[in-house]
Amino acid sequence: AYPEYNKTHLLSLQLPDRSGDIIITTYGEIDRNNYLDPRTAQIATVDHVKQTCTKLRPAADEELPSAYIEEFRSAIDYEVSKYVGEAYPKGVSAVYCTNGKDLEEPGADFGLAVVISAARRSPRNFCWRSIWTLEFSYAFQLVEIKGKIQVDAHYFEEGNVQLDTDVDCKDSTIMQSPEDTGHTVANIIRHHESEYFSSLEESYLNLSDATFKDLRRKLPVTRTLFPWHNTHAITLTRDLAKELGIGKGSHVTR
Amino acid sequence: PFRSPWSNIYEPPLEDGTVPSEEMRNLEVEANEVFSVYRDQYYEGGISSVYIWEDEDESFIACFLIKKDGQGKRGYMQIGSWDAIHVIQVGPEEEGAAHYCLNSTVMLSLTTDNKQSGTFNLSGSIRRQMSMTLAVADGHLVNMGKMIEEMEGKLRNSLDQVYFGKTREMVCTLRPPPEVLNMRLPDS
Repeated sequence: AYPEYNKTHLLSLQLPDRSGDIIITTYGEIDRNNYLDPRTAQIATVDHVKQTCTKLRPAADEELPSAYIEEFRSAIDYEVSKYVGEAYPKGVSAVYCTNGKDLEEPGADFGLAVVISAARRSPRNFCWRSIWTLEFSYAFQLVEIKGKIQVDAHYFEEGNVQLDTDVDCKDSTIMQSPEDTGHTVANIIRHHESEYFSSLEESYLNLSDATFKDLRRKLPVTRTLFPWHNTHAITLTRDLAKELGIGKGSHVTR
Repeated sequence: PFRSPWSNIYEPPLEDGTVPSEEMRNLEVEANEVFSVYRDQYYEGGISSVYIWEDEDESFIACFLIKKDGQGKRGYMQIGSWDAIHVIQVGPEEEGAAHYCLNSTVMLSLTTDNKQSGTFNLSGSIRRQMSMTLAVADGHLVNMGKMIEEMEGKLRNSLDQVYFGKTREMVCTLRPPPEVLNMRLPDS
């Protein structure tokens, strides 16, 4: 339960040697308690319950991608972490190799995943998580990009309110040098994420302006409070209206 | 089986089903009528029910329920639902006054769902309590009605603030809007 929770929520923990943060995600999972930080090429042992790093060791060569893959991975990592630093005050990011990690030269497909996480855990609980998978196709010289962005917020003073949002995105670009790929991918991610932010704002506006106001008026059409004292007059008027078949809520048809 | 507050009959029928006393039943009938008009004026639709039953020591409990579902602007796939539950405990009459204790909950759910902008869901509830001692001269219904009206107004404001203010504020904390980023002082 705890590992699943931490992975789903892209928990980020400070590395014991202060060299940065490690994201707890399936993409970096060596085993249940050990996770790879691709940027510093280290494996951290994690206590899921306490949410801390208990040990740190350098990653072995077999645990890391080839030099060829690493060129792409680190170029994208560099550009994406620049973007994340600008857009999210408390954001972290990492880029992992998802397949083809031992590829030494062009000639076959490989895949990378970009993971972005910005969260506050306490006292309030809210987070922005996005995962972008990049499939490099050698045959088509294309990079197919798929993203899933999720924003959750949980507010529980005075009650209990949860915001749950998510969206799926798609894009693509041509195969380029690692450096150019880094720029392009970061720009594509930046573009989609800021578009999504705008659409969140729009959803708030629409729901607030239209849907919420439609549920209950601030005041009746009369612009006065309900006349509880004159209930006899009200029920009389209503009965008359019913009889005559006029007004809302009338069940009489003539 | 449940007892309909409109017909005072159990559906499906229940032998020996408890029904309120005549006095309570009359109050219940009137409350349903009046509350229905109140509901119409504020909600312009929806459905409501009032249940009243005796409690111990000459007290009684009244439960006012409102349910309203809504859509949004034309062209947007939006759903909203509002469920209000107001439970008032009314104490025995003493020196022409009675004590009213109101516990209210409003459950509000708002959703947008479309392929392009994905799913957006705001759901939850807000709860509040209000107690008052009021003269019974105008009758219980007037007192209870006014309390509920005041309470709903407050809850509506709170919901507006929390749903559209607080949660939005949290999102903007994670990812400040472009205008805020541009206002940042450059690192020296």
